[in-house]
Amino acid sequence: MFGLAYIIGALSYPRGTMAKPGPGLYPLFLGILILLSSLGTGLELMFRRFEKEEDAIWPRGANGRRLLAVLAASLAYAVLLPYLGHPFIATLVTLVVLQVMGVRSWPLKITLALLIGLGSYYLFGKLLAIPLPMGVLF
Amino acid sequence: MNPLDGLAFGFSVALDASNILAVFIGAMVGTFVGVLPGLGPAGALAMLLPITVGLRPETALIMLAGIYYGAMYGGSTTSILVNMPGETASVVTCIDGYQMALKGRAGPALTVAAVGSFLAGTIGTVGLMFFAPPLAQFALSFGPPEYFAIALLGLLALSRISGGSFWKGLFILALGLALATVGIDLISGMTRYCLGSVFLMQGIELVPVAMGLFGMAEVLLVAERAGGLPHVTAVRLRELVPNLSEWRRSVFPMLRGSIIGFLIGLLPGPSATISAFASYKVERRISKYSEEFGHGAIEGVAGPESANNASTCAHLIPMLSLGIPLGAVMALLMAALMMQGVQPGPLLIQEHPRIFWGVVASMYMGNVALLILNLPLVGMWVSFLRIPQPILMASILIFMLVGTYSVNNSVFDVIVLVAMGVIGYVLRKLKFDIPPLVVAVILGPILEKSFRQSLYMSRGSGLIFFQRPISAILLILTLVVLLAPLFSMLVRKWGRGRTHSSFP
Repeated sequence: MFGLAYIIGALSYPRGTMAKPGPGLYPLFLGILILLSSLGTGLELMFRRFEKEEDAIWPRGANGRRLLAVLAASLAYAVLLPYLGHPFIATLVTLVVLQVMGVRSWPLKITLALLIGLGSYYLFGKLLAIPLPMGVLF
Repeated sequence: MNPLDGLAFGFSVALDASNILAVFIGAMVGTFVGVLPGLGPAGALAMLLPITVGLRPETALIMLAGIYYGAMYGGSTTSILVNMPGETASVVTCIDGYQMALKGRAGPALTVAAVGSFLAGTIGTVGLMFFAPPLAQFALSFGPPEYFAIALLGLLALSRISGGSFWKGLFILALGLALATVGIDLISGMTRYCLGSVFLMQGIELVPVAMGLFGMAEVLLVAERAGGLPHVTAVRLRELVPNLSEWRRSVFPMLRGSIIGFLIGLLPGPSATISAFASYKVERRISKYSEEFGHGAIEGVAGPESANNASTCAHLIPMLSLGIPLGAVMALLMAALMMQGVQPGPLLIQEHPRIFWGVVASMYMGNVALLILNLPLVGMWVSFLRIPQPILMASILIFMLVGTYSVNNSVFDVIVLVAMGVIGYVLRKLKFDIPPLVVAVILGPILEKSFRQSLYMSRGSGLIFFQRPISAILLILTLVVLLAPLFSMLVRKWGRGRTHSSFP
């Protein structure tokens, strides 16, 4: 945890020095604030280390895999949206999420995925008239 | 416009068919969000922000405000029946509400919570109606230095009050302000922090940021846990009506709760939660039945539930009259206005009376609607708690993905959403407080603009902030807020071993 705070602090450092006069003045102050506060957080953590405060628990194993699968599905939505179109990719993403969240029955999964995928298309694309990409399939 | 004329005008706006529908949808969605644990009003507002783009500004705000105060109603239901807060402001209600449910008095607890919310919501709206216009009038004399001071005070107080460590609060604030500087600088037209990306030149949109930090992060947390369904206490709804002594014991806590909530609502931070705690403490101290607290005292439901509703009304005042949001939800409401091309600030009430008075009038209607929605239909809301989590989660995820895309038809925004979701998830894991980040993203440009305009005014002298009385007072207050924790820390260290510190 300290490592992370430190990295954020290190990344924030160039922000302050990058500043140019005029539009850079305010970011300069801000950079100093970022640097100070991350240093403060880091120091505080170092002190707390000795008091044996509990660290954040990062997911491992199955929990971590579920997390990554949901993330990957969301990113896939963003990347594939222009190619596959909303109805198709939304159905697919729903299917993945239901799968990793432990819905077992396939007929149920597919029905739900179609319902959510096409339902969201109907709501946004038709009722709210937002031009959603249809993709090459339709 | 005096308040009565304003109100009459407001009702003429709010009674328009589409606005009535907006009140109703807002109340429904709000109750739904309130009932469901996990999904809070901030996440829900962020999710629905994209939908409001096509609406008229007043209709959009009426609906979104409805979600906010509606969530306060719904939250108590879950607290009382499941012993799990539907949203954070109802944490206190769990204590005595759930105990009452165990004793078979769930019905009266629900009724008292709903009636208290109604009473407080109505009192709070009256307060909003009378206080916001004069405050806006007063704020018309504010120049850039005053705005700088007030934005700074709001931000720092928010990061302090939200709890957690001093440095963490400051860090999260700085992070939000830094995010706000990405894009084209409005004064010089220069691009900043774009890392050569054309997408970043337009700046980072608030919708994906807020949705990512609240909604997406929540989805990720759920994905990690994958818990089962909550156990819902069965309620006999025949016994909704409290008996006479329960009514008598609830009336004054409701009124006191309304006042406490309204006053605390004027402060930055998660005031709905804080005011509920404050009201609970007050009631426990002054009650004749103080030994019953923790074992199902009805005052412990009536007071806090009233307080959190009154505070939501008061919270609207600084946003509508100054253009300064004091919490994440207010930041999102303000973003909704800005997406409509309405500039929030002291001129809002004068230039857009339809929005201000329409919202005020809609809140009277919304409170009536919520009372009706929450009492007889409580069984329906409880059944929502039985929706399996995977389905709920998948729907929310898809909704967020499409919603984000639809604001600008931009795939890049969706990527920002996912990235913010990861950041929000990590920050939540590290016990950082998210709301100040969102408020900082909204206030960042205001802070910078007023800072630089002030410096132009004074030809570069930083003393301008202290030469004007209002900004000087505000800045001194800021300093007090900033230094108070350091001071109390010193006192504690110094006094350790000799006296017991009054700070926990």
